[in-house]
Amino acid sequence: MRGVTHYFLAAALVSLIPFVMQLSVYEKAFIIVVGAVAGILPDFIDFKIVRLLWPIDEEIIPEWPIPDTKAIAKRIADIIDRAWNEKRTITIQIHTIKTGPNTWRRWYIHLDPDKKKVSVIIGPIQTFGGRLFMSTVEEILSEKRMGEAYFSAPLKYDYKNRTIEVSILAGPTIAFKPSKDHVEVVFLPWHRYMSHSFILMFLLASVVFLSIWGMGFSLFASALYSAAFMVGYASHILSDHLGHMGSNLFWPITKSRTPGLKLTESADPYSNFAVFWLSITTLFWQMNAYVPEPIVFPWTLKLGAIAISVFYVVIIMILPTLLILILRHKYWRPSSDPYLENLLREELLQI
Amino acid sequence: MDVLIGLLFVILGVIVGALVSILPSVHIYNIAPIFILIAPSLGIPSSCLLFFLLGNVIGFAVINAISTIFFSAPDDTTFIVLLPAQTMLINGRGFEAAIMMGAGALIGASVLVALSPLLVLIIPVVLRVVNPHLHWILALFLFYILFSEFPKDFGIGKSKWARFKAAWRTLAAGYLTFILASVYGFIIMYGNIMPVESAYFGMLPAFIGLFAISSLIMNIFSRPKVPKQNIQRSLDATKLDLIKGGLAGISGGLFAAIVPALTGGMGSIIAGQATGQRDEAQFIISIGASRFVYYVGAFFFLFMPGFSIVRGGLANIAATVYIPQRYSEYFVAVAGIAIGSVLAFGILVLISYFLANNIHRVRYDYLSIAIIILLSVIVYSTTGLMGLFVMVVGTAIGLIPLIYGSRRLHCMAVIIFPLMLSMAGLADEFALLLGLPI
Repeated sequence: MRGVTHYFLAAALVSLIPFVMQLSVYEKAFIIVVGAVAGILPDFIDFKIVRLLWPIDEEIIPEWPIPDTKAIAKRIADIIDRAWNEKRTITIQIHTIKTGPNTWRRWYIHLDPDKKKVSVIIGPIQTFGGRLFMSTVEEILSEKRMGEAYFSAPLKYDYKNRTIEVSILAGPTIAFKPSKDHVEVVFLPWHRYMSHSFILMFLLASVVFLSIWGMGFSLFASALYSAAFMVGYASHILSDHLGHMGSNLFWPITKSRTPGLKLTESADPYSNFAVFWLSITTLFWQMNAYVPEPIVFPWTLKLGAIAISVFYVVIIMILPTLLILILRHKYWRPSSDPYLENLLREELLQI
Repeated sequence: MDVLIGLLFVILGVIVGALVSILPSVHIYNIAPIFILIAPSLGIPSSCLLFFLLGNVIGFAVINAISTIFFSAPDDTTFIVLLPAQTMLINGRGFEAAIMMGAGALIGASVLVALSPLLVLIIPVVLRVVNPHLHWILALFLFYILFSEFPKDFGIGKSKWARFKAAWRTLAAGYLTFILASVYGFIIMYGNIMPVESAYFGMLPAFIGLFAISSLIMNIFSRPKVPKQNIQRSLDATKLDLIKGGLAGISGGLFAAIVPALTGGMGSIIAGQATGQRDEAQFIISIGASRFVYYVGAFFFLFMPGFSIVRGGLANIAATVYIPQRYSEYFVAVAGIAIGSVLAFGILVLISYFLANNIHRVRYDYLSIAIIILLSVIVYSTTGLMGLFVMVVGTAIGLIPLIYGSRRLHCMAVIIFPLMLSMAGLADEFALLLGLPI
């Protein structure tokens, strides 16, 4: 999920915790904000701390403006073999090719474990927003557009279409991690490694509890703030687990990421917007329940202390969400890249 | 009041607002209070003045594209990522960018007009629900803007601590801006430092310093060169871009219009991220739509009869003069938005065409110096020496994100933070903490 989705999902879930809305309205507390910040904290830790301090063994710096594809492919193949032969994890930072104030040349690394082949492919120039200028590929001699090299180590790599796209800003980090019988490719080894852990969540929630208590709040209020933090943090870990990459759920006990449920992608705008919409409408429902003159929505049912309007749930929350999901079914093409697909048609068909 | 007279004042307002908005870094909120002050001496009835101000806001919301695109030429060596409109300008496509932003504004105007019968029913009810929660809603947005800024690049061949330092240089500048702007805004609002007779212009020097003078100073030193511009006959945007950008902008703008102190920029960032928008054309269109719905929408709420909804800096001042109470005035305002936005778009096309043909001749440094002098005169004449001092402090804070490449939106803490504290009932405690008299 995107940051904005995590943030508002966490806020919505925290607002459902008993007494949170009362505390927010009558005591003018910021408890929902604490939960929402916890909802983006795992990515904050990853992108602003762990990523920067993660040890890098080698850097792949493509020549500017046109990289030597064969040389890069050979170097990566060599790194894979070294990781296998020396039985040590080698982490590489792959750099992007900046071509202008807001443009980069996209390039790809295709790893084929079956043919034991690395292909490095030069793509078109693109903008920050992802607009491709396809004619910019034509500027490059066809024999220079793709370089290949072979490795001998047994490689395991099944993520998406076995292709690493290097496009904008800082570029991805890849780790080649040897095990007993193969070298595993770990994409963004620093991401969802320690931050997306329930154990870290409990530790940080304890810090929140002690801080609030230390500021003179009651035990109950401290526990409530701590619970809000945990709900926000857990919502991030669990919603990320709907994707492909998964998370290292119990770091430091577990050492690698548990694969995700592969139900969606973090970049999928439709899934993100559906969750965002549900979050905003949930927040509005909760806000309405705690104002002096609430809007009375039709078809309201009372279930004990809880009132639910069938109209609100169906018409305001579920129907627009269904519409978004229908649009997703019709228009969403995950990771579609016609240029790459055309070049790698044969390889991709075999996956 | 006669319908035609109302519309006439809107049209007049659009023309005056458009002329003012061409000037780089000049905000209509900084100039319109002057019109409010001089209107009685010109014999303009207060009801007509409100339509004139509506025209001003419409003109600004559309024509501000000029200042954003043509007079915000970036120094492309200092930024890793440029805003899409700036990129288009340095690629010779400034005219196209202006028309795209104008198209976004027209989409915003169409939706605002089409929804006007519904808005009068929905907005007051939504505000009734939102108002008791405003303190945490403001904090929610403020902290999102603060925490969602990520390092963009941190160099090649560096040790891990060098990477950390490079990335945190930008982030820390953002946090510093946020903290300084928060305290600065609080002191201006609660420190009673501005003269009583400058009540209409309370935050004017702060905004001019934070956003206008700081940009102009950067223009003087970076001396950006703008290439010759091309006049495109078609837009590099599909119907889908118009729909997606328009929807994101309208939702962001409407939200910002409802929640006090939030801006269209903040609203469109969140709406854009929620809808997964990254495409440059969609971004420009969404900014146009968002600005229109935010500025015009917030002022337009004042016309909702019987509710006295005051949203936005200008509405706050205008409401002290006149609050419309009749549906006839509301629908004249709707018609005014429809006519005024088309007129403003026409003016935008003409001025953009002229500028696109001549902008490469403009000396940005000279222009910036002239505008700094003009703004300083405005600040001095409305708020005196203290206003000038406040402006200088604001300029220093506003320069931090420009120099270090962090988000300028952090400067908005100048108004959001004090408002948030006030709504949470914490203003007195914070004033004590700063040693300010309560």
